[in-house]
Amino acid sequence: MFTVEAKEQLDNIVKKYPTKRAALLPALWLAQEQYDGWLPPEALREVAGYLEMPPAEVEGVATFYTMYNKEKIGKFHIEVCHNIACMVRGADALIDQIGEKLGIGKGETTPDGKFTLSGAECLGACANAPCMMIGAKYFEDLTPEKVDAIVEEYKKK
Amino acid sequence: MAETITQAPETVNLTIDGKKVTVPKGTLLITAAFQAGADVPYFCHHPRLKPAGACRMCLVRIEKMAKLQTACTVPVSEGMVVDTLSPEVKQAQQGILEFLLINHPLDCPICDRGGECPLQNMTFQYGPGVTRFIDEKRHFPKPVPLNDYVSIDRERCIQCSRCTRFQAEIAGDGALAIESRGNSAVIAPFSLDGFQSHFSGNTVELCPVGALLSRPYRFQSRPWEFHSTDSVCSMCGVGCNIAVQTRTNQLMRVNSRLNEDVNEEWTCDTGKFEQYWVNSEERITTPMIRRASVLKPCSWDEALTAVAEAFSSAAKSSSNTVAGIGSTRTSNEEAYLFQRIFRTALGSNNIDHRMHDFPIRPMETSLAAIGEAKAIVAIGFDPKQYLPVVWLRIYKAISNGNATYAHVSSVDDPAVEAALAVGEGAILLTDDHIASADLDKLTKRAKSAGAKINVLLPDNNSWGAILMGVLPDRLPSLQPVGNGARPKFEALWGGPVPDKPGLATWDILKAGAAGDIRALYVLGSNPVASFPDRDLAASALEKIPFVVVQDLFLSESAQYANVFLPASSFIEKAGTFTNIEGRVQPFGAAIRPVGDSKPDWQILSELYARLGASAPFFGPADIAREIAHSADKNTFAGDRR
Repeated sequence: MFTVEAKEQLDNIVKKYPTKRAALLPALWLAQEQYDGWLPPEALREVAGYLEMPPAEVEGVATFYTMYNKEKIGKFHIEVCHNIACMVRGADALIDQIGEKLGIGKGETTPDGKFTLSGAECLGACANAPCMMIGAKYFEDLTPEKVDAIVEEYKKK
Repeated sequence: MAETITQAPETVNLTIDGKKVTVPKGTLLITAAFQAGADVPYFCHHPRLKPAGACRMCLVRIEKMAKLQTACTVPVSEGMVVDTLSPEVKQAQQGILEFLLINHPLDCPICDRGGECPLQNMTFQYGPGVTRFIDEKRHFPKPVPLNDYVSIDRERCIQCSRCTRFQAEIAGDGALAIESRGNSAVIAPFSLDGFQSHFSGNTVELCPVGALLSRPYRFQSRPWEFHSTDSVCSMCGVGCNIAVQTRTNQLMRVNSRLNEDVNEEWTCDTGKFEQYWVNSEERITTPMIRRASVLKPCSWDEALTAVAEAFSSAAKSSSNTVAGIGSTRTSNEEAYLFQRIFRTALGSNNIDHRMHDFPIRPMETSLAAIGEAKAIVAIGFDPKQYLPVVWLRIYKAISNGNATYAHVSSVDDPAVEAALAVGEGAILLTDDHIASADLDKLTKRAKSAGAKINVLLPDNNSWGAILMGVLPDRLPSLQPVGNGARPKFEALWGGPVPDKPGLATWDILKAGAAGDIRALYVLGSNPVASFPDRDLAASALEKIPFVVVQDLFLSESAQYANVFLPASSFIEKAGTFTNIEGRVQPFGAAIRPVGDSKPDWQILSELYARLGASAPFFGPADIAREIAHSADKNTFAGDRR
């Protein structure tokens, strides 16, 4: 369920657009924040009701974009870029390293629900490759040492 | 007086395959091409849906444009020169089909659509004949049921989006959408709901491949094996035109049939999927007579003789002791014959079909006019549930842009006032449960506002029963039994007709329970289940010494029958139904009567002969001729309440 504050936020988003349905993408972002980082069908229904759209259409849009999560994800979503610039700078090895450290493979979530590890398409930080994101935070110019330290830090959170 | 200047519609001249055509401005190129006689193949295009350009099959060359264009998305423009036949266009058509067939399973031999499949036909006519694709095709679980009626085979889907557009633009519920993208794109309803729509069956007919499938029809028949008969839906008062498709004397499938004035080309799911009761094993197909308190099979002669004897001996003692309760299920011809038998052979006006009293008032607009309305309010009923295809007209008015729509429970709702404020172009819809006082009040307000009221009767031949005179106080064409029209019918029917109104259904049942009715004819109705006071109906039928029930199934009322006469369904006979607008529509016989059942008109005709009719009717057309002869052509013009 959206909090009262989130509903206010949604009202303000809708105001920026000529029609309610035009606000669908930002509304889904907000919903994803409200529902612990992913979009269960209930969230889609709530957004559909708010924007007066058929829920099937909202689900169609949510499934079109890969950055809306359709399955439950961990508290911290680690997305390591594996596009060409990061790949030649050792991204695949970093993914394996993080996976080993957390005991999960790419696309999996730790049993305690804390971490989900994904490979990501270009994150737009090629100048500082290899890079990754945890949630909305960027980490750039990664080395195996840096990655170790970051994961250790997040394990404590 | 100023003259009205009618402007000629703006037109556009263009050349298609060397042929000059002139079409209205705004016409899509594909439509103009058909007008020019060009044969442009397509899948996603549909004249009632907005252009999508999804399937790419209709590519044509337009002079001065850099690339081939989809004819279904390009509006014509002046001087356009179009080519649909060149080797370049042919190559494009072959290329698109080769692409569409990459993932299509080509399981035509076991596909329900095989034989009537646009993809199959287009491949035959325009396809490359070979494929270069030798890899594994895409796989999905299949078939996946989407609701009780429709399932989907996603491997066959070509993503033309006809189904999603139908649900969004025509049905107005947007119940289907394309989920995911690219190679993984699938048609899907909302995951928590399934395919919730009253109109899902239309997508099966719209699907240009075998992706959306009718569950009841799946693997039942090949389309070239069945016979298709023009018919009219029996499930509600709209009277959608349908094609009844039958094989081995059984109903295989109901498809819609085009009628721009009634259903356009749509049906609701009830009409398409809920008429398989005609095939039911539970139908009674032999006449039965009660012996030692048990209904036992007997011959038609035995049954009809028993009915004729019971009714004529009761009528001989007093014509007030016989009564008939007809129904809205029988054809016009049958309803007419039923009341004629009661009024002439038995001398009684104790005949009715209503289960409750309601205002008898013709619609003030046509069905099609609802689609053009500016404001619509449904009062006291939900058209989507009750007369689903009326909803499609309502949604048309909404989606055309301007109409407001509300569904309210009371005539005093502010939405009614708001609609009346619109004045001309406002249409109020209500049903047969509206109180007379409310309707009177509404009528006054509507009249001064210039709005129209449509009282919609529920059943497929509600108006037929009324107009054929299955009413205690009305002869055919709503002529009161006491007035000057009676002699005309007496002359036509060759005998006196009682001039006092008879008993209405509720009075028949009261008199029955009081022991004043000796013989009751229940034709197609089921008072024990559908009369509001069921106890009264049951005690009346219990008490009446002779009850004959003429029906397809052993209904609750049939439990009290002394004689049961098995009737045929509407697909086993010809006749006409009158829809909510008063439109008389013919339907044909698709199969032979099941078992020893007989069409209602035939049973009545044979009974009439036993009651002394000089010349029996040999077919519905015989009866229709007499109805046409006696009908008052003005009956449906204006308010004749």
